[in-house]
Amino acid sequence: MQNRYTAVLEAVEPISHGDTLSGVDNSTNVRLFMRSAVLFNGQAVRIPDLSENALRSVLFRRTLHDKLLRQLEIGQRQLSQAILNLLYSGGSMASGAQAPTNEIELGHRVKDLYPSLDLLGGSVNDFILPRSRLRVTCWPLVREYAPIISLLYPEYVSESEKISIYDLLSEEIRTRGTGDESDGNQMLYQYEVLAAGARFLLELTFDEWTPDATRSAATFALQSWDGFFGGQNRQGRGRMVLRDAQNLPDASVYTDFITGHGDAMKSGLLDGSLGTGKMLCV
Amino acid sequence: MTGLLITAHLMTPYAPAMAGADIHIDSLLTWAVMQSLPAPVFFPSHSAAVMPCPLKLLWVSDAGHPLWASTTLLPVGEAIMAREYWHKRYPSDRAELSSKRAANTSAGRWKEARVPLGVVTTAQLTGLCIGVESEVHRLLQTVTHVGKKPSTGYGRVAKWDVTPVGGLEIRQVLCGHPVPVDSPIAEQITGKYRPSTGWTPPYWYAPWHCSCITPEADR
Repeated sequence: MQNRYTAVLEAVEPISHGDTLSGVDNSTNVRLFMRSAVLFNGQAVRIPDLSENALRSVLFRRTLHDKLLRQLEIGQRQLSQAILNLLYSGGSMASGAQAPTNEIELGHRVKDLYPSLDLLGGSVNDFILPRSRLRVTCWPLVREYAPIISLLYPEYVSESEKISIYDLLSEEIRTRGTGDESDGNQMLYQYEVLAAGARFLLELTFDEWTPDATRSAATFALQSWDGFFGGQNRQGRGRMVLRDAQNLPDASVYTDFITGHGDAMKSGLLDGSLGTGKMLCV
Repeated sequence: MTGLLITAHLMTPYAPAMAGADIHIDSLLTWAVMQSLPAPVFFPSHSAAVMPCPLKLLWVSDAGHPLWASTTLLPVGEAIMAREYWHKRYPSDRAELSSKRAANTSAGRWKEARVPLGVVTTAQLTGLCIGVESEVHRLLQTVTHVGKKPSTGYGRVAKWDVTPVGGLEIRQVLCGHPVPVDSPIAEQITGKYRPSTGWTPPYWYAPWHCSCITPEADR
């Protein structure tokens, strides 16, 4: 069974993606692009990169659950907050949580009925679901990552060596007007972007025992993703396309699964039992 | 069984389970065994269910827990410790789907979190063990990540090298590996005393913790 798949994410508009290390306490300066550490010429440096945590959320979690709710015809004001949080943010346990003795069994029953939760994991009121199936890794195809990319994907090395990540990095300055009555009081804000054309190697690794419907859900997510990543989407920033996806699992297995189990999935979401008969998430 | 030098070539920083926590070769191997054949074994006249491992068995405790001949994995050359953050946010933009739209995101269950994550950036991790070369090599191929947060790419291993080495001594092959003070092997080594720590897979399982001596990393 193939457990690893790759694709290339290519920016067709500049990407804005705020750094989480400097960004929180850096509100008055240029918002830096997300960075992560890499060894380059023997030194660890933080260079612009995409957060895999964000990729999991944007490409998979949000896309899968938006589509799932649409397909199950679940609309406004129908979900509990705990279910909403589980689907879109991975959930959080309630105060005083005490796991039932059969938490492992219950967790696997939830994962059996909801391939998207099997893929991405989460927590219900009293316990964390057993480990998620998907591991996401992403590398910019740039010179700084070429030595690392050569370890596994030599076919991307020559492309990577052609350009530095810093050749792709620039700043955008925007103006927020405050109306005619406050002339001269405009607010400038500034953020780093990676240029359109930037390419990233996306690697998906599945757990050995991943069911077909769960693998298929990952493909469905990639095919259904709206193509936007990062911030400033309202002005087109972060528009990307998926290219060179190789041998991805058939997405129809997942859609057929929803068709076949739709009633049970819907009632489990609406009553908070997630199909287990116990109120796990209310 | 032969002495083996294990090398992991990393593609991303790895996140130890806690600051200064070790990655144990016997843990990785038993995890790999469990992925492919989740069937525990029992040592004769012992009741504890443990996972088999293609490593030299140095000792079995009274409870039936094995001490395998393997070190921890340590960084080779440059290793930079840093702190990353990951965020957890309430899905406020989808609150319309919820029966209750108000959510306190600064305290309580829906509190948004900025969670620090200690990471180590290094090109390689290396360690020693005594085991069956072909089986160790085969099992390690299934270990794609080490440390925490593999779901977001940390600890991605590009490849494992398993190289035979000769003349390994017990002290070398237990470097960084806690050894129970009840074991006769503890009399042959010196190191740091820990009143209660994990020493056999799964290392996190507190009921199996005991007093140990850990040979220091002097390779």
